[in-house]
This record gives sequence, C-alpha cells and structure tokens, in this order.
Amino acid sequence: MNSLTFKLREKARQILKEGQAEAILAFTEGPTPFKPRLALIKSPEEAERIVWPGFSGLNPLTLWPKIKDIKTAIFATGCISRTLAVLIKEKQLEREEIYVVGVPCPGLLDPQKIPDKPEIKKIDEKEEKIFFETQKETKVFLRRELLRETCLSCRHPSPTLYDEILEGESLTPSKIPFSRVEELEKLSSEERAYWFFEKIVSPCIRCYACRNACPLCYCPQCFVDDSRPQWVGKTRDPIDNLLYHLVRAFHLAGRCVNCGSCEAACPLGLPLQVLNQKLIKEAFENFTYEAGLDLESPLLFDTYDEKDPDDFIVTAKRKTGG
Amino acid sequence: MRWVLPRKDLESWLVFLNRDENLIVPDGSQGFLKYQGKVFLEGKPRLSIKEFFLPWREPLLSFEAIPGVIPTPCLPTGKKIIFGVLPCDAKAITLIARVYEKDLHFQERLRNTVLIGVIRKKEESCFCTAMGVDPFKGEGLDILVLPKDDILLIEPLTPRGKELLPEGAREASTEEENLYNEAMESFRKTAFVSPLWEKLKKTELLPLYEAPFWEELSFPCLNCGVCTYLCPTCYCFDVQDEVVGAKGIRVRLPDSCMFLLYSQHASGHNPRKTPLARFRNRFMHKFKYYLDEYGEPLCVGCGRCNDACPAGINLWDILKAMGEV
Amino acid sequence: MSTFEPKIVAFLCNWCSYAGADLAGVSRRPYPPSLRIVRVPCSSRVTPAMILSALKAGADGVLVSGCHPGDCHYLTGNLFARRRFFMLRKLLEFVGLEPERIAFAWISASEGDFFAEVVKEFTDKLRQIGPNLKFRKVLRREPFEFPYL
Repeated sequence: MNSLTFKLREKARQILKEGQAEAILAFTEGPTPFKPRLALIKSPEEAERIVWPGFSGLNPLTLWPKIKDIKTAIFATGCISRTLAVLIKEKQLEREEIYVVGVPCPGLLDPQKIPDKPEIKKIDEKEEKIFFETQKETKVFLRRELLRETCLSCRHPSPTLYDEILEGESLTPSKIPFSRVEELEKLSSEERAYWFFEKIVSPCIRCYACRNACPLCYCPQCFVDDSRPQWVGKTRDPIDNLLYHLVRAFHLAGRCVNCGSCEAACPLGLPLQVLNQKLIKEAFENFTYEAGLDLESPLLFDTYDEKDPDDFIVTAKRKTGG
Repeated sequence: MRWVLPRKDLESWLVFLNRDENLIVPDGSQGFLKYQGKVFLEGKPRLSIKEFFLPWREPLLSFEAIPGVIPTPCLPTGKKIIFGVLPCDAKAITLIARVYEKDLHFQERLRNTVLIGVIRKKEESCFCTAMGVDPFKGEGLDILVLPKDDILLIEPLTPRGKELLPEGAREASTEEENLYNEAMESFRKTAFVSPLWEKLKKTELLPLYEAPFWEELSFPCLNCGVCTYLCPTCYCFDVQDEVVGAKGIRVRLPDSCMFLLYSQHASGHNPRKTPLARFRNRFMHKFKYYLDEYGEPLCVGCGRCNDACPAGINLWDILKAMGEV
Repeated sequence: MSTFEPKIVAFLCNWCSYAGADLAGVSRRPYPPSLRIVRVPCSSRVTPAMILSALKAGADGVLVSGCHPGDCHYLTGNLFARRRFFMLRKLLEFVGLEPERIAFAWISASEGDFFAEVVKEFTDKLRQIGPNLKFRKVLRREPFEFPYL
C-alpha cells in the first residue's frame, strides 16, 4: 500500500476518535485506480476506504458547498490549503468550520502521460517510483515522468495553512513555474492566436467541467447562465467559446492557486490551466502577488497601489510629454 | 451473404466511398472528422457520432425583425457516409430515433446518413452486452465490417449498404464465413447479459425515486455536463435565438440535465434545484422512465461516461444500487 | 482604401469622462461620429465581459475612460479598475487577439479638447487596423458539425 494512504487512514481514524472533526472529506477507492472518488467519511471504520488520490487532480474543496452543518476535516496539500485561504478571505467559509491536516505533497500524476495504458490492476506508489501491476507484469515509472504539468509548475507544494501537519517529504518547488506560458510568449501574436483557437477554443464542447471542478467558481449563477443580458451564446460558436474561456480565466485572476482541477476535469484534456498561469505570472511579476499564501493580505483585485503600471492608459499629460 | 476485402484495399474503398467528398471517419482519439486519407480503427473516439444527428448547433429557422417577414425554416442538406462507426454508437442512434420519431431535422439526417460500422477490440471500459447490445447484430448500421487478420469481412445489412460494397470485394468462402461465425459465437459466449432489466421493469417507481442511496452516490458529482455531452444516447436539447442586429437564427443545441438552468421555469421555480435531484433524474431517465416506455434502457454501454467522469462516478455502482431496491 | 467607418463602444464614467465628452460637444469641438457612448457610474463598473461582448456584437473598438487617479468620485474606483484592465490587456495580448482594439484613457471633465483628440486618434487607428473580423459573431445558417476543421 502507498505509504501516504496508510498515513492518511491512520490520521483519519485518530481525528474521528478524538473528535477534532465529525467528518472527513477525502478521496476513497474508486472504480479504477485512476478514478478515486470523494466521500464524506464519518466513522473510524469507514476510514479504511481513504486513499491518496495519486491520479486524480480534482480539488476536494470543489464539493465544499455540499457540506453543511458538520465540522469537517480535510487533508490539505499546498494548493488545497491555498484554495482554503482564498475561500476564507472571500467569506465562503469560516476558519473554525474546517480542521486542516497538512500533507506535504509529493505531486499528483497525469494518467494521460502513461505510454500505451495497459489494463492496470493495481498501482503502487513508493517515493520516487510508481509501479503498475498488469495481469502479466509490473511496470515501473519514475514519479517525475508522470507528474502533471500543473505539479511541475508548483511553487508551493507544502501546505501554508494547517492545524497539524503530517511528516513527509514534499516535491521540490518548481524552478520553472511558468515554462508553459513562456514557451508560448516566445511565439508571434498570430501563432499564439492560432494555438488558442486550435487547442482550446475550437475543440471545447462547453460541458463546463472546468467551471464545476474549480473550487473557486462557486457563484450560484455563473455569467454564462445569465440571459438578460446574455454575455455568452450557448452554442459551440468559436466566438462564444473564446469569450467563455477568456472570462472564465479572468474571473480567476488573482484567485487561482494553480491546483489544476480544471485541466484534470476536462474530458478532452485541453490545456486550460495555461491561461490561468499567464495571469498568475503577470500578477507575480507586476504586483508581487500570489494567491492564498496567508489569511491577512488582500486579494489582488481587492486592493491597489498608486504605483501600479499604467503606461497603457492614455492621458493628456503623457501625450504632451509633460 | 458476406464479402471479403483484403485489408490493403481498404484505402481504395474509402476513396470510392468519398467520391462525393462526404465521408466521415474517426480521427485518432477525439472524435469523427472528414476523411483526409487517414482512418483510425483502434481505440474508442471520445466523442460519438451523435453530433451528426443532433449537432452542436442545429439551425431551425431564421427570422428578421421586420413586420410581415415570415421566418424561413432551415433544413439540413447533403448526404453523409460515416465509416468506422462503433456498433454501440449506431444502436444509440436507433434509441434516440424512437424519441425523435416525428422530428423533421433528426429524421432528415437519419435518411441522409449511411453508417458503416467496424467491430473493434473490446476495451476495459466497454459493457455493451450488459445493456442488451449485441455489436454483431449491427442495429442501426448499413454495413458491418469485421477486421480479421489481413482481411475485412463485410456484411451489408440494408439495400443502400449493398450499393456501397467495394468493387474489389469477393464473396466469402465457407471458411471465411466460418471465421466470422466463430468470432461472433466466441464473443456471444463470453458476453455478460444482465438480468437487471427484467427486474427494474417490475420495480415500483416511487421507492426507487425515494431510495436512500441517491444521497451517497450523488455526493461526489460535480454536476458538470461531461457524461451527458459524451453520452451517445443523451438527447436533451435547448433552443436559443442567436440575434445580431435585426436578424436572428433559432438554433437547437445539446443541453445537459446536470445543469441548474435545464429545469429552471420562467416563473423562477426549479423542480430540480438540488444537485441530488439532477443526478437522480439522469439515471432514472436512462434506467427507469425510458425502460418503462420502450422496453430497453437508454444506455449502450460504451463506457465513455465512466472514462471521462472527473469525479470517478461509475454507472455500475448506480445500477447495482438501483437493482437492489 | 475603402471608406471604412469604425464603430466604437465607449464606456465613460459618469463623473469625469462623460462630462468631458459633454464639454467637447458644448465647446463645438468636432470629433468622428464613430462613438456609441454607454454611461457607467465608474470605470471600475466595466467588466471584461462587457468589453468582450461589445466586440462580439460587432464593435470595431472599445474605449474605456474614467477619472484621473485621485479624482475618482468614489475615491479609488479607477485605481481598482486600472489593475483589472492591466491584467485583461495582458491576457488578450497572450492569446494574440488584437488588444489594440481596446483603449483606455483618463479624461477629466475639463478636458473636452483632449476627449475629441482621443476619439479622433482611436478612430484613425481603427481605420488602419480594419474592421473587426476575429471577434465579431456572425450568424451562420449552417449547422455546427465539424469542430476540428
């Protein structure tokens, strides 16, 4: 068994026995090893179902609106704890409502990166190695070969906000956090427009999995559902797809914590996270801002600085050179 | 009678089929695409052929905001041939056709589309036989192709399918006929046929509706539209007016019962306000309402929903729970 | 070149820029008739969805204008807006979608002349870029079936 799974189960049993929380929101064994499923664990016996999510990039806080009137504990890696911080700042939940167990994150894996997926019976993770047991043989991969793009760009794999923390070693913070964005920035404007249409706008089927999988997209009525005015058309028209993706990314500017839940949920595997990463990069470079690192500092768009860049704004003074 | 075509002649058949430049073939893994010299007959395309019968955007009529101008209807035009269809996808179209029996646009498309099915290797996520689908029956198909070693065994199923047989094909010898029959029998022998349907037909509606398992099973569901959009049998639609200036087009597009807006009334009332209610409706529709109406479940067991669900929800868990009521 | 007259949707803040436009009119300052003005309470009322859906509806350019920093009727509204527009511009630049079609300006109520100048220059620039084809939504009578072509 995965050593992290073992640790999580042990901790879950302890929490439920000692009563720091009445329930635990955690991944449990799903239909296949690639598809762990979130559940609300309420008794120490049930804790045996908990697993380390390995291949699921879904952010468990997405289901937070479904949890009511019960003190809940959660296992928080770096991105989950930062999501929590943003949600608390936005008054979506109180700090006291949730008991946070920090987990140093070894990084999550991307099933799309497995070359010719065999019929896998069992997956085992041991530190740097991943074992796939098929009917015939056991294949071994190195963890870094299978890491999600999001995790490869992660700057904060260790939790920033927790009540207690599990022991263990986390991923080294990424030295190339914006590599995917920078690669595209090297291209010309036309090439980028082509990339955007080719990779995101035209294949998107508008299933809204990216929106619903995002823990920070909690609006009761999304802007795409507005009918008066109707900002976005409902069909797969390229212009409407474009508008949807731009506004979706922009609504997460200064809030997105780079958890990659949207990308993991996309049924067509589109690189949606790149748009968010661009905004994260700009916020970091221009405003030295990163979302969800603490509970005190204001969100990016909740504050301003008089010295904010404004050379793109036309003024009379700038025109006359005065 | 069956026909045999050497596999190396497949391309010339495709070129023959494409003589009106209206051939559509599977494109790698994403979906189906116009024929451009390549065809992928391995693996399961993520999107089914549903989009050629219930397109992502089906214009119904165009109108102008000028008094006296009568809206003009838009009808689909042109014939299509789709090659490499999964037999389960074709079966799904026959299931939808029962509901869209009197729908002008759907029936027009059905009349103008020839489906050529290819039997593929069973994948881990496939469970068509459990849903009462037999790929060798070729329901909804015009031609069924079974690739075997270096030959293609071709069975025309309809008169219009017979017209599209490849020129280089020869009649199958008794040996080759046996090859086909063997493959069919060995498949049918291992097929798992679920006894669930007879049971579910007799189950009372209300206890199923009020069963306690819905709450636990629907908990992980994100209420996104992945399963309904990828499902080859989900047929719900939305109607929208696309207006630019004084001109507009009324279009029909796929909708998903997982969305809050799907059941929203103009009054503001929403009968399926909770995520649980929407989740329950999808499966009750597939495995109870449709079953009661037409005697078959509204599912062909292609496994796309299980493959794509970001929350790891599995149809079988729900079916198991429904069967126990 | 053809006689292309761009259409510009202008979101003007009620307290400065709208008054500036008014002053341009009162002082008989000519500027191109390309503008369609939407009066908003403050430049920070303008959301990306508004700007993008104006382009989608067929506008060739969008002008957003508010008070100078420090002059905002709501004290700091325009400073919040500035950050937002900065990020929006970066995002549009990134996906290669003609950010030149969106212009931002600080125009006070006393700058009638300058308002006319901004509109004139922006219109000239849009004449050079040409009509908005990338962003505009067109009505199609054909069904949408081949998304990968």
